[in-house]
Amino acid sequence: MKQAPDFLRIEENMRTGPLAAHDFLGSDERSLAAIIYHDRLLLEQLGLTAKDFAQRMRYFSSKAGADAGPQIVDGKFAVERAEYIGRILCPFADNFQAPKAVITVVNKELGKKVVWSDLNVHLIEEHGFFEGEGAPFRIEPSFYAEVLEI
Amino acid sequence: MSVFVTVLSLSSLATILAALVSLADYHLNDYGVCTININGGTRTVDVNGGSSILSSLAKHKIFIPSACGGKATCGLCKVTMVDTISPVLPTEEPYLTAKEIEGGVRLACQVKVKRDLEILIPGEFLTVSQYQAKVEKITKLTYDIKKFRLRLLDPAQMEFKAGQYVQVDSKLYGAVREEVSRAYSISSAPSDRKAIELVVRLVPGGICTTFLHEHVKVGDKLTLAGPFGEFYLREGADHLIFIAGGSGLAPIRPMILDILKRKLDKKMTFFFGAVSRKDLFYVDYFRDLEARYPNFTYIPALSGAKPEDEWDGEEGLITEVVARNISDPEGKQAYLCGSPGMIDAALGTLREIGIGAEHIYYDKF
Repeated sequence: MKQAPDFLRIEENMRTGPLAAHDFLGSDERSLAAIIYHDRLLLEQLGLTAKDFAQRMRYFSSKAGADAGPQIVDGKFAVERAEYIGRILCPFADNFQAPKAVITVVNKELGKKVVWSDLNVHLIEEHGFFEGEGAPFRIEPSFYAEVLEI
Repeated sequence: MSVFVTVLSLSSLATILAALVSLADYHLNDYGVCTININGGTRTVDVNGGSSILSSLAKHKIFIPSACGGKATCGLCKVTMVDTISPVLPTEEPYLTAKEIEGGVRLACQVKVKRDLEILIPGEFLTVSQYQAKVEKITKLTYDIKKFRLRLLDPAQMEFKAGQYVQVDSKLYGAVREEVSRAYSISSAPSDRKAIELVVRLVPGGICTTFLHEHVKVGDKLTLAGPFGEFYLREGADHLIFIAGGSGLAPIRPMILDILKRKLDKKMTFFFGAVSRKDLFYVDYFRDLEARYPNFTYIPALSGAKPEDEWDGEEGLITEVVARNISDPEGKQAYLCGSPGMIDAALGTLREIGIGAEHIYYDKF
């Protein structure tokens, strides 16, 4: 898939170094445009939108106090928020900055766990970007939809 | 699909235009040598135009505080422009109040030097030095927090106030192709001038914390600048409340040690919040201080204690614990250090207790 020059520049931001010690694209060999496009198709198959995802993730984030330990939400989700000093810039160069925070949700009924950062919510909501395969904060749409019951 | 292609096309057009402007700026604008006049001529430096004020001054060993290394995510590098030079950028707006904008305050990392400038900065910035240091000892405090003891080589001593921080430069490692500079509070007492200690929590994906935790070894040399910061002890209170979580303990420890060493007649209560026992550190250290000094009280608390922790101390969010233990605001000052969420929560609690904002101090990176 061809991609626009600005996506090439954004890809550079996503590589290890400029913003984080990990690569937002992971080991994915597809282009940024292709990753976004294919995840959009996946969402369509699931009958969801990126907004649905972000809204559900934000719901859980709001239920967990910073470094407050696991909180039980809706009787079956254990939600924990670890917050760090500092902020991280959005690699799409839109001037958005997210607190450095990691949210962990365990669906106790399913016995399955998902993890994301505050930045993930913005990347999904504003850019439809779930990160590349193999990236530490890759949000696998079908798995996250299952665990978060979206 | 058509929407996607349209978005891509518009993005492409915008990018091509931006790239053209950037290229034209680079190739056609030769700003030559520009003079930066600091504090009414206290210091003047000649710099090659085109770079930010922050980096231009750093080349002349004038270090403006910056916890993010110039990415406009910390808002610390404020300078006052004597002349209006250009409109405030969107990247700066979140960090500047209307009053600051009106007064000519800008972020030094976002303003490029394109002509002679006059700026005002706090005088102490001119005394900040760059240091070479050797890693003398690395101590694992918890599963994600390490203490680094750095022997100062050149200059061999640093004078600092308890609570201040230094900026450490990372080096290239692994696939990281960019050196960054990050702020870390000094966790050792100011009486020890020949070495400093830093307490660093590993941030998932953090460039500098990953460098320090996973790539720095005993004997390695590091470059750092400092001391920086206005988070230090103030006069005028007889009961100091310290609230910290995680590596936020770092600047609090030297404050407590400084007061004890100077035998100041002040009561101190240190609230330290953690999730579970595995997140606690320095417990024996502070309990020992508590046993030896009647004016010091140490209250660690766990917000998510597990049965295996066998914890019989305070439980709950650290702010809840503060509210349970402090009720009278009279004669009190509060010093906070931790994550932004903890700071915000603590500010709310202290406000409810009745401690005025003018008596609360914190660094919020």
